[in-house]
Amino acid sequence: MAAHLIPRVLQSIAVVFVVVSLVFVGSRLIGDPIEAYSARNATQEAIDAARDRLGLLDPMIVQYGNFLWGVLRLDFGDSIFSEQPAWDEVSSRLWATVQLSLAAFVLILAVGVPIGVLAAIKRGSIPDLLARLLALVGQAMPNFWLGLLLIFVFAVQLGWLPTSGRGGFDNLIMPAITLAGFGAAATMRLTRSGMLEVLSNDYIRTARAKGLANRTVIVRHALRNALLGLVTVLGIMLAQLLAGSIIVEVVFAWPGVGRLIFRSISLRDFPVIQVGVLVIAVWFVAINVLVDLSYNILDPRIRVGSGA
Amino acid sequence: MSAQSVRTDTPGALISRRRGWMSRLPRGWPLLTLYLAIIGVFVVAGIFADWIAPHDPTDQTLVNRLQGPVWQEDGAYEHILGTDGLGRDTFSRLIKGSQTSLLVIATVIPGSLVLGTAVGLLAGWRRGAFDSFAMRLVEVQLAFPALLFALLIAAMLGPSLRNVIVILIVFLWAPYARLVRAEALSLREREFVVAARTLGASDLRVMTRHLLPNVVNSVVILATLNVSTVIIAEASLSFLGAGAGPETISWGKMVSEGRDLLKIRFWLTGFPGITIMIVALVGNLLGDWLRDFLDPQLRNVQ
Repeated sequence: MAAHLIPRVLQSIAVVFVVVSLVFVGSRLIGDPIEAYSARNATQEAIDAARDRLGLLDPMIVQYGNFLWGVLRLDFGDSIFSEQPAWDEVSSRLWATVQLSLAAFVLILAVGVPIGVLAAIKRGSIPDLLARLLALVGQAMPNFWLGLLLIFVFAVQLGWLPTSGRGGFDNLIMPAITLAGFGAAATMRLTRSGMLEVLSNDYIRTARAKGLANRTVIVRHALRNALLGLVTVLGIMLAQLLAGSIIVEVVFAWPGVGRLIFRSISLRDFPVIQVGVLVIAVWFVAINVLVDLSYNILDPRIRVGSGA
Repeated sequence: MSAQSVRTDTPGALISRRRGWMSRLPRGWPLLTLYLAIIGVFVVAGIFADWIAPHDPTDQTLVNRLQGPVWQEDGAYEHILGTDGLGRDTFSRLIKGSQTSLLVIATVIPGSLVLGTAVGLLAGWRRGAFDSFAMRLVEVQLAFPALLFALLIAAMLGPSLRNVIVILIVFLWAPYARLVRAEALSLREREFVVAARTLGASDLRVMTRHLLPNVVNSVVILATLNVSTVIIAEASLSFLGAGAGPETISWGKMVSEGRDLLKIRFWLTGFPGITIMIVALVGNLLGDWLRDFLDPQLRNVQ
């Protein structure tokens, strides 16, 4: 296992390094933050002093070196906008985003998998048809529009839920549904097709032939194998949720990392952008590594070292 | 499997022995006709937007602002789907917006398809260093939070349709490359390819004459399924203000403009939202149909 793990982790660190470097270059290219902030009548001396304070007068390579050294110490400098440490700005909002992503992930599992299984077992029936329709609509619905639709129906018309912000459990419901929508539809579809594929295998016929209860065949023999194929997809989905939360956080004014990054991009607040992207990139590759590992553990046919 | 056991709701390449031209139509043709009709309306609206739109989509008449659609009390046939906060005709803006979506689809899909297929063919046929490099690149790309980077790049270069197109091509070529490479890897061991090689066919000839025709089906299916991805991606970027530029009309931007008026005029976000959904839905349905039609082996699975 370790022999498989080490190159995978090294590769992941390399990916994070590339992402962070790209963001460093990118956030310098979006424009000079001082120009965006300084008053119209600011003197040249004041502007230079501000640039000096932020280290913007150093050669690019020195800035890059300082930046990488800062990454290692989790010191990313201060936010230009709020003048608080950039790391604190991000970490104080991280829990809100993780909470939203996990809630959406639970929804995806709780809705997508059971409906997909049910649709496969009752293939061709009315419930199957409805499930497929739901999956099709869910995959065609842009999440910002799903969010606005929910706000209109449940907040504006019915007045059951608050339109935006974070607070109690009722604040979480609509953002979580919005974030989960696409993933739940995709999971439903993949579970259904995975189950159908597994159910056509010979060992399922054998299990039925030896007189096992239908329930046992479905749960013990079919579902377990169908879920195996889903692990990778679900892992990628969990990783995408954190990054995908940007739109949902903007629509629902959810005070998380996504909305912070969105705001910081328009404010040219590059220390905060860098930390935010770094956090999301680390989350991304960490989940990818975990998915790889779990796949190795779950499926004895794929032995460590063989293939990907 | 006998022809009778094929599910009737899936189209098949099988032509039944019954007589008459009706039997020559592919399975599921009524639905297919519907999909094609919807796509046809979308394409025609996009190409001829300036002729079809009943009003100038940028024409502001403040007297008529915030009119409801025709079936509501304050609606009028003059503006079938009502007007926005600046008195612009929603129906005409939807038509003009389809031009934007059509332009993005018509550039992003061929662009990413050609790039991805070329890389995939070369990687699968030549193997070696290029293959390793290309596949690492694909992995990195598929693992990137694409939207985040699109936002950054849009902030760097300013919102414009051209940037959206370039960004989407850069993010969407990877699935084609992976698919084509996988198929090329299995094709290269097949007898007809080995035979061509033995007869002295050049790399280019093997790739274009022997491998390419055999991957076209999968690539076309993926491209069709990608229509919804592209539409939704462009709409999302435009919604966040990182997509179409200020003078371009886009469905995503219309949703965002209507957002502030959600409480009093739902239809300002409703119409563009529903339009995006219908085009994306039909794209997916058409892709599913094509997969069933071109790749009958998958018929029982999907």
